[in-house]
Parts: sequence; structure tokens; C-alpha cells
Amino acid sequence: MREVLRLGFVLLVVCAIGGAVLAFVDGITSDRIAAQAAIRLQKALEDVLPGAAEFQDAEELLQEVKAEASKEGRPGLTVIDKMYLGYFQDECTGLVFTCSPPGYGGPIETVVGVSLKGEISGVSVIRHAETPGLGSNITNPEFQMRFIGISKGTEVKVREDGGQIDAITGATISSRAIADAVNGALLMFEIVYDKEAPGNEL
Amino acid sequence: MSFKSEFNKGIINENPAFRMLLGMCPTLAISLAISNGIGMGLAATFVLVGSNVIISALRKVTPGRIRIPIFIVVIATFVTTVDLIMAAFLPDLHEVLGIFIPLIVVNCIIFARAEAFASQRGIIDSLADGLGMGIGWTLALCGLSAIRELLGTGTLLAIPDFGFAGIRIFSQGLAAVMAILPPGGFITLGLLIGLLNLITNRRKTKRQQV
Amino acid sequence: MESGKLIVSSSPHQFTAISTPIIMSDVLFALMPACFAGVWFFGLRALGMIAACVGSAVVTEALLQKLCGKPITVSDYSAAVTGLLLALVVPPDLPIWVGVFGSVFSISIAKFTFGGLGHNIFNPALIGRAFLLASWPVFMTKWRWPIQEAPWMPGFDAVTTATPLVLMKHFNVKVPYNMLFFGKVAGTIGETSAIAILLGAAYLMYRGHIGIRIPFSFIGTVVVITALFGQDPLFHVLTGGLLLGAFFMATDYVTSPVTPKGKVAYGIGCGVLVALIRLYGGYPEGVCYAILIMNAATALIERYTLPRKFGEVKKLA
Repeated sequence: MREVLRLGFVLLVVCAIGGAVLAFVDGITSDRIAAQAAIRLQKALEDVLPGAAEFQDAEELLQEVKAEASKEGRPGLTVIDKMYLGYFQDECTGLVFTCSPPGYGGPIETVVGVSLKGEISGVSVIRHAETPGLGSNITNPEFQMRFIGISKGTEVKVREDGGQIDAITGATISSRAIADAVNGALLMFEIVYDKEAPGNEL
Repeated sequence: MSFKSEFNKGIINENPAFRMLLGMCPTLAISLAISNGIGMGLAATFVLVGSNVIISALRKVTPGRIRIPIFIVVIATFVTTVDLIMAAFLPDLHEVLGIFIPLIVVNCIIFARAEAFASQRGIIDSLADGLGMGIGWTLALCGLSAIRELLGTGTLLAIPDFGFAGIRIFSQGLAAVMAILPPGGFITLGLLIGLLNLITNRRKTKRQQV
Repeated sequence: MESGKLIVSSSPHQFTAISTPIIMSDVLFALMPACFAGVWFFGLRALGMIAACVGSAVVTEALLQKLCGKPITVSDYSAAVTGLLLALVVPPDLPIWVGVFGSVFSISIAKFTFGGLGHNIFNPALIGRAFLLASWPVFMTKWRWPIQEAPWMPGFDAVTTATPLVLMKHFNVKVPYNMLFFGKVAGTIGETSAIAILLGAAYLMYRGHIGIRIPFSFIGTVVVITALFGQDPLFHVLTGGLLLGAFFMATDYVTSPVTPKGKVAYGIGCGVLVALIRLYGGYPEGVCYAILIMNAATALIERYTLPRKFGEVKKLA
């Protein structure tokens, strides 16, 4: 019994010291880490919706639209994870969606911006696990540019599927995933836009 | 054994990746680019040196029956420290190494050195051992990464997260993509281990003949 | 027993005059129609690819054997067969140097590191193909139709990049049987013409080098499954590498089971995998991977299908 208590006590002391060290490190790094994450998000959103300065998470609106869409059995919105309203001087300039369409090596975290006119203003890839050298070319700005300017009501498809976008050579599946994200974003934009009547402040 | 010889053995003779086959999972998984190899290797070296020193310092007061949980707590503390500091001050590198940093906890190199060396030897020896093993592993990672990066992408020293595309040796279209896929990792590692064994065996026979 | 010594050795104890060089040269001969069809439809470039692959395979084998101080056995033609089979399963427009890399990889990594002929677990030519597909996917998926016009596929400007299986899988366009049978379609150098492959296979069967178990259970399984899923079985038999794979690669002595029941199980396994990959996989064609996966299962299949020894008593548990 004494032995067990002694071992327990030693372990307790070691754990307590370890815990204290971690608490101290966490104390000096947590603010910086949170700030880094916020900067990263802000930058990703600004990249795809040029001109907007502030972004507001529109989680409630997104859930509402998603619930209605699933009631009506409309597909295509499942790729959307989050929706942000972009503002410049208190005026809404567009919507930004974060999506995770299924790629070749798992979901591809994509950010898609749609301007108020209903045109794709930017596409960027945040995180992916596509084949290096092939599918990983989806991070290439030259490829992402191919989607810019496509407006709502158009169905985006890669050329292999009879569409208008040139897929990356040897990486049709990855290219198709980005097209899925863009389609989801355009569809979502249309629904949100119609819902909040034109001219209405989003 | 002197500091120097404890340090030296980790570089070639007891190299963790090529000789002891320790830490195979991170070795194969991250050796895609030299920059990855350096980042992962240095992070592991820091943890290895720290945990070796602490475990060696505590060896007299560590009861044998609970030494394993104590090793784990010490190693986990160091790893979490590295993880948090990297996330705060080197966010780009942290993004690349991502999941591999927390996984240093279960990297068997660190655990093997704690159990087989640091828990039985003095602080200075343990420091030398940790430093040697860590740098040996880093060099192994860099060697493996250099071959895989060159064959698989045609570049060297690319650091995509800092926007540096690397030195292009030949065009991307000519590169054998398999080198940076998992099978390429296994094959390259196997060939490197074979080559190293061949060289050491040749040397040994030569020495015996002399 | 002139010397009065009893020589004890493991089986086999009886030998026939049929040796490796004879079998391998017969295989080379049996592949000639397929080679001829490839050159006929894809031009002299295909001949260049065949020569480069065979040549580099033989040179690699000889070089490695010399380096390691082993007897040089290139005269048994097995390296030549590997090189030729590899050339037959790559696209005609593949850069020659890529084919050479594949050949070197086949012999050095897939065959030599396992211990040479008779010790390799996987079919070297198919490993070579898998290596090339993983390494240079852009080159390895670039196909060409023997003729430029393709009137049965209106509206596709990407005609040059699609094999019949791709057209079927993604566009639901079916290439007519007669074109598939004679080989006027896009594909690898050797798989293009069904009749050329069947000619060679008939010769090998006549010579008694390959049995009917593996190819027929393989092809039969593909027929049954594709028919069950409402696809055209004949189309699936005639397209892609199925015939070439079933007769010339799945039957490889080294990497397929030796037991009769095992051969059938192995063929069925290959067929199931091919059908699954073609129907549900990301790739349009799966013969290469199906055979490689079943190669890995060969030892297991043999273990479970070994015939009972005469007079064997069931072991007590």
C-alpha cells in the first residue's frame, strides 16, 4: 500500500510540473496563436473577394437555407461549410463560402468568393491532400483563374465532362472537386440572393 | 565514452533511420521535401535533447515500475511546448508539419533513447546522445528528402509555404511522381539502407584484409 | 548407384526436355501477332518502343548479374519477355525514355531485388507498368486512335485521349465490336487487337505452356459480373487489357498458383477485381492492378488448395 502511494505521489509531482510548464507556455502563446488563425482566415477571405474589408459569419442564415434545401430535396449545397458576408464601409459587396468537396485524396478545403453581381470573384485552396505534382496543381493561381467571372445560373463542369473548364492534365478528379465547390457556391448565392430580396441589405 | 563518441554514433553507425529503423512512420511520411526534413528533424532533435536530459536527471528518483508513464509525461510536455511555440511564432512551418509535431510523442526514436540510454546514463552523455541521434535523424531525413524531392518534382529546396519554388533541376513534366508517393518512400529508403550497408560491409572486409 | 551413395534431393525428380528458354522463346513467338498488330496500327514508333524495352530489360539483367557476381542468364529469354510485355502495355506515344525507365525498374526492383527469376512475388512487367502509371501519369494516359476520324463519337474533340473503356465509362459511347476485334482502337501497343492476342494464346495452349484454368476463370468471371450489372459482357472482354492480361500475364508461372483449384480461385479473384475496378473504380481499366493484387494472394491460395497427401491422417486438434 505504501509503495503504491509513493509511486502515485512521484507520478503526481511529475505530472504537476509538466502541467505547470504547459500552462506557462500556453499563457504566452495562446493570444498569438488565436491572432494567427484570425489573420489567416481574414487573408483567405480577402483573397477571394477583393475589395471587402470586413467579414461577418452568417451561420444562422446558412443553416436556415440548408434546412429548407434539404426539405425540398435539392442537392449540391452539402459541400458548403461556412458562409461569410463581405463588407466594405458597411456595404455588402459579396459572399464568401468555405467548401470541402471530395477530391482524390480526401476533402479539399476551398474558399470561393461570389460578388454581389453573382460572379465568381476568386477561388483559393486552403488545405488538400491531392497527389503532389498533379492534383496539387489546384493551388496554382493559373488554374484558379479559370473560374473567375463565371456567373450564377451557369453549371460549371470540366471539359472531360462536357463542360467549359480545362481540367489539370492528369488530375480530372481534383479539378472536378473545385468545380463542385464553385457550383455549390453559385447555387447557394442564388438562393440567398433571392431570399433576401434584391436591394435588401444583406 | 566521451561526449564526442556518444554524439558521433548517432550520425552513421547507429543512425536511427538507416541503422536502427526507428521512427519509420514520420521518416516515410514527411520526407517529401528537404524543408520538411529540416523542420521535422530539428523539432524532434529539440524534444530528444530536452527529454533525454530531464529523464537522465530524474533517473535516480524515477521508480523503475512507473518509469514508462514518467517518460511519456516528460516527452509529451516537450512536444506540446514545441507545438505551441511553433504555432505562435512559426505558423507557416507549423502548417506544413501539422500532424507530425504531436506525433513526435509516439516517435519511437525518442522513446527508445529514453528507455535504452538516458534512463541509465549521466546528463552530459544523454545530452550528447540526444543531439547525435537527433542530428543523425535530421541528416537521414534530408538525404531521403533530397532524393525524393529531386526525382518527384524536379526541384530542390522548395519551400512552398514561404513562396519559394526551389531550384529547378529539370522540368516538372519529366519528374517521376511516384518518388513522392508512399511506394517511392519505401523503395528509396530500402535502396538507401542497402547502399549504406554495402559501403560499410566493403569497408569492414577491407579493414579485415589489412 | 555406382558410387554407392544415396542422393537425396527435393522434388521435382523427373525432368522433361521443356526448359525455361524453350517456354520463354515460345512466349516471345506467341506475342508476335500482338506486336505486329501494334506496329500496324500505331506505326514504327511502336516498334521502337518494343525494341527499347526489350533491349533495356536484357541489358539491365545482364549488368546486375555481372555486378553481383551471379551467372548471367539472359539467354533464357525471361528478361526479354518482361521487356516485351511491358512494351505491350504502355501507350504508343509514350516517350521512349519513359519506357526504358519502366523496363529497368521491372527488372531491377520487381525481379532482381527479390532474387531473380522464380523468386519474384509480382509480375515484373506489371510492376513496371504500375510504376510508370504512378510516376508519369500524364504520359501514361495519353492515347491515340489509329485513325484520326471517329464518326461514331459526335461532338468530342478530346477523341485522341479516350480509350473505348473511358468512352464507355464517362460518355456511354460504345465502340463497335469489329473495330475492337481487329484492333482499330485506342489503347496500349499490345492490347489493341483481340484477334492477334487470341492467335498467340492458341499457340501457347497448343504447345501446352498455359492451361485453360486461369484465363477462362478470369474472363468468365468478368463476363458473369458485367452481365449481372447490366453491362455488355462481350464489350468488356474485347476492350482494354483483359485478353492480354488473362492469357499472357495472369498465367505467369512464377507469380500464379500451381495447384489446379488454386488456379481457378486465382482466376476468379482477378476477374472480380477487374469487374469491380471497371464498374466502380476511379480508373477505367483494372487488369494490371487486379493481377498484381492476386499475385500477392498467390501464396495464400496455394496454402489452402494443396492436395492432401496420400495416406495423410487428419491432425488431432
